[in-house]
Amino acid sequence: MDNFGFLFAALLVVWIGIFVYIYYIGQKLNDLRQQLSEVEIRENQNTKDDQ
Amino acid sequence: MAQITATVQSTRSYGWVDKLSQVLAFVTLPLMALTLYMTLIYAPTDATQGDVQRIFYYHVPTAWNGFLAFFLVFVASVVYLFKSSRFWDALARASAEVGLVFTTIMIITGSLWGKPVWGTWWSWDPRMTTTLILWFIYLGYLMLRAYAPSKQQGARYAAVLGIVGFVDVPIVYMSTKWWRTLHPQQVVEPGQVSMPPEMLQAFMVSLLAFTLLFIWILIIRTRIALIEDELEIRSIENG
Repeated sequence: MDNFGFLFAALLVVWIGIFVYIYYIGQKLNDLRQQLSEVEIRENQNTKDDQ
Repeated sequence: MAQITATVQSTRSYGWVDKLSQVLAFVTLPLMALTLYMTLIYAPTDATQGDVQRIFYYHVPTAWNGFLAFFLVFVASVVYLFKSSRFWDALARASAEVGLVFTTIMIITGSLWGKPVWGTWWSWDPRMTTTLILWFIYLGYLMLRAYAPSKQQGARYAAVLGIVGFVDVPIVYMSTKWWRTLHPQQVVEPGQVSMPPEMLQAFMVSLLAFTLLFIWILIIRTRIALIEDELEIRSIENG
């Protein structure tokens, strides 16, 4: 296996890079969904209070 | 008010996108595993470069998806300037970020391939230089959005940059034809394939896997941009 170290390093960059990015956006999406549902609950509560 | 209502409705009506995202994840992840098998075991070892040539199966698909992402930024920016729709702005901003991630991976894998083959990590040859310029254009695009005085102003300026910046994509692609460069001519072009069938099959599987992965990531990232917009609108609405 010639120059296998370079191939291995490239594979690490590709896979780790992609998985880290997917993890990051997955976490961000969950956080934002959580925030959005909290806002919706607050808004519903305010509407009920107004009535 | 009409704009706010339209945006909130458009964000909510993307429930089917979550389904599509799940299906894509279900298809893409096994395909990525198949890509590993095809590129490391199934494809034959290159007679000249040896195993390091297998970086090709990752370097080229990430480059292709970077170009695809920047093409989407271009299209979404044009539509945004005409329609001022938040969806197209969200798509452009998501696509620029995902494109930058793919282009970064492409540049690093290219460097790791270049060292054993050309004896250098980096050379200022036309393709590498124009690619680096492309990377800086879209880094600048994201910075422009982040530091613009207002979100709308940032979106408009970024749309112009997204259109003008795309000019570099065909230059990167044609650089191996226009100038003398260390990079070889394209090995896969319409009507002309210069590689053994097993290598071509491995390449096609990898290209398909990375393209589906790109679409999946882009859907998630666009969803994030739309929810960010909705939260901002609601915070304005609620004072």
